[in-house]
Amino acid sequence: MLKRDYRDIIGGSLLIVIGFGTTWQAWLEYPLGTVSRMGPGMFPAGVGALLMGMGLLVIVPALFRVGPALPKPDFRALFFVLLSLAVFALTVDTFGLIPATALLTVTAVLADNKLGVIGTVVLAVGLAAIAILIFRVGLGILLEPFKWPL
Amino acid sequence: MTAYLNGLIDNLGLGLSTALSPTNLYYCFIGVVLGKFVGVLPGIGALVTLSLLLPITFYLHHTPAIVMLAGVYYGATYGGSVASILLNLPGTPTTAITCLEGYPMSRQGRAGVALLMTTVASFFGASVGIMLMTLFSPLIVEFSLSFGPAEYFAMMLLGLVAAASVASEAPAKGMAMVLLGILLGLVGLDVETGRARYTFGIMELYDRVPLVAVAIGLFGVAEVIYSIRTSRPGSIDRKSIIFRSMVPTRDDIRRSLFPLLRGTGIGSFFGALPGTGAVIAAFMAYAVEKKIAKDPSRFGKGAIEGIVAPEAANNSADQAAFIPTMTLGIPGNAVMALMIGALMIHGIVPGPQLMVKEPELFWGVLMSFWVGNVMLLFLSIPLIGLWIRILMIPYSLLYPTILLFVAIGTFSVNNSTVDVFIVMVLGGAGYIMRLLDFQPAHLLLGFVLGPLMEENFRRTMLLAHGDFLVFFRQPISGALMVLTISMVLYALWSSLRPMRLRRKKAV
Repeated sequence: MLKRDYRDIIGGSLLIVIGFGTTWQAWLEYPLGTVSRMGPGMFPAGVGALLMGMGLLVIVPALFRVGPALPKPDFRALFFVLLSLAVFALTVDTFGLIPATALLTVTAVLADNKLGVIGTVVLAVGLAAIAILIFRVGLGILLEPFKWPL
Repeated sequence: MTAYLNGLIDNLGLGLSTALSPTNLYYCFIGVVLGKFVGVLPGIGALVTLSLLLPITFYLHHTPAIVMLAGVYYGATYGGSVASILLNLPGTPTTAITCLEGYPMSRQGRAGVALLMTTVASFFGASVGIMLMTLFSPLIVEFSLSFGPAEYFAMMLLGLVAAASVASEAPAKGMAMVLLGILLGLVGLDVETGRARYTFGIMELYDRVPLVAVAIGLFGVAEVIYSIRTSRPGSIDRKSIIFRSMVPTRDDIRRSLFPLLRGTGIGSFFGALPGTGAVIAAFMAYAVEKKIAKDPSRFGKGAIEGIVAPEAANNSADQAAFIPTMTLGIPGNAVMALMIGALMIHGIVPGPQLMVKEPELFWGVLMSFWVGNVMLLFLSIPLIGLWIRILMIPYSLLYPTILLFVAIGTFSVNNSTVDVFIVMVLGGAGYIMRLLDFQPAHLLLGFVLGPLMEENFRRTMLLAHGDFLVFFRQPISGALMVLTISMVLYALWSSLRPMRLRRKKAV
């Protein structure tokens, strides 16, 4: 337990930053118009201001109550999960669906590292088969199984 | 009255013939099997699955698309109780309460009875929910056809405020998520002036952030990151679940009768209200049974009332939630927001016009609920052994599969790498929200309704020459606004209350 609810204090501060940025941007860049003929900036400026208000409402009570321990982010899972998607996106157009699927599987498995090498290979083969069957055969989405960028 | 009944019979006929067409039957079957499957698996729920299926609906006609998505939704509620009863782990949040009595029952070797009774209760609750939707939808639509932009804005505002504040422990955080969703929905070209807003020079964002990317990022990717380290142990006594062990005793049936009816009533009511839904309905139904029981000490030790009532409640709530969604275009929860989004992808404007302009869609989907529930009844009981085996699939195999569907699904919509990167950003953001205890589900509601709200707000202001009080001049929007304001005031009061209490204690 912590003396203050720091989790909500952090959350509320983020809200205020986002709300402020939104309103600032709308105020400076987009015409506000008049209330009866609103420009593109009026609505976002209002919503941003409300968001700042909510941020305050989250922070103020949190200052006066005890809070839970701060959550520990799982950086390993975060990193490998996002990386696996990036790897897929960067390879699917140049090398095709099957290599991209295999790379995604290998990267994703590293996030919890519970499957051994053999398990990973079996999973990659299985997923490649599923990908081809469901998306290419079943739904007719045009994704080449293999490509060579030359 | 007779005209209403005749119209109803015609429409039900139309709906039934639509629902029973081979295509719709097929997608209904796919939907409920998939729903049951992911419902059984702890860690994957209806929301994740619906997000992953959203790209696929691009390749379907609108009716089978909605039929399938709906099937996943109510199928998952059927499946969720299997994990709750056998593993003491809720397969879906709506069946969390079922653990309390369901798991003790399975410890006593009565898992079979529990599984059978929850299935029967689910079917009964869902049936009543569907009937209510059939009877009331035409009346609601007739009433709301004359709504102008002011009424729409007021209604959407009420829906969002209710969703964010009524059910939530921290209303300010809920509202903040809704607002964040509205802002995310504003990214792109402004409909009226063509001005690009918050696009940061990225061309792909001019046409708004795709709903698919938001749903998949927040629910697919963020959930995977969050769940990887959550270990789920458990062992099941498979022998206790043979077919014969499912037969309930005379005492079980006698005890279940009234809880069934009460649970259904509670579920139908809370399901139709925006912001409450199946989770709350199930909790309420359990609390009511415990309160009125002659011998409350039986609860917690495998009282059959404690699984029948919540299961009837969550399924009737699932069906009743379609009432505001399909008649008014106001989604009460994130799943319903995805349904609305799927309709909009197919160029259908949600709202009272839907039933008038697309009767085949409306009544076809409605009748498919019956078909799907009957399918689930037959899938659940005879195939119980199969579902139990699915329960044992380890998460380390599941999550790479989910990620593959995330990647292909997102990529295939526009053949765009940028969409996958948007999903990554939103996935990371969703993970941060989960860590800081913000609900991404509220964000999705705001995201779907945001652009519609802005449009109606601007139109109202244009018609009223900038007079804010216009919302209070007409009786319907006035009543809605008063309701909204009282909810906001209550939320304000309750979010500041803990602070005052603590101050008192400190003194």
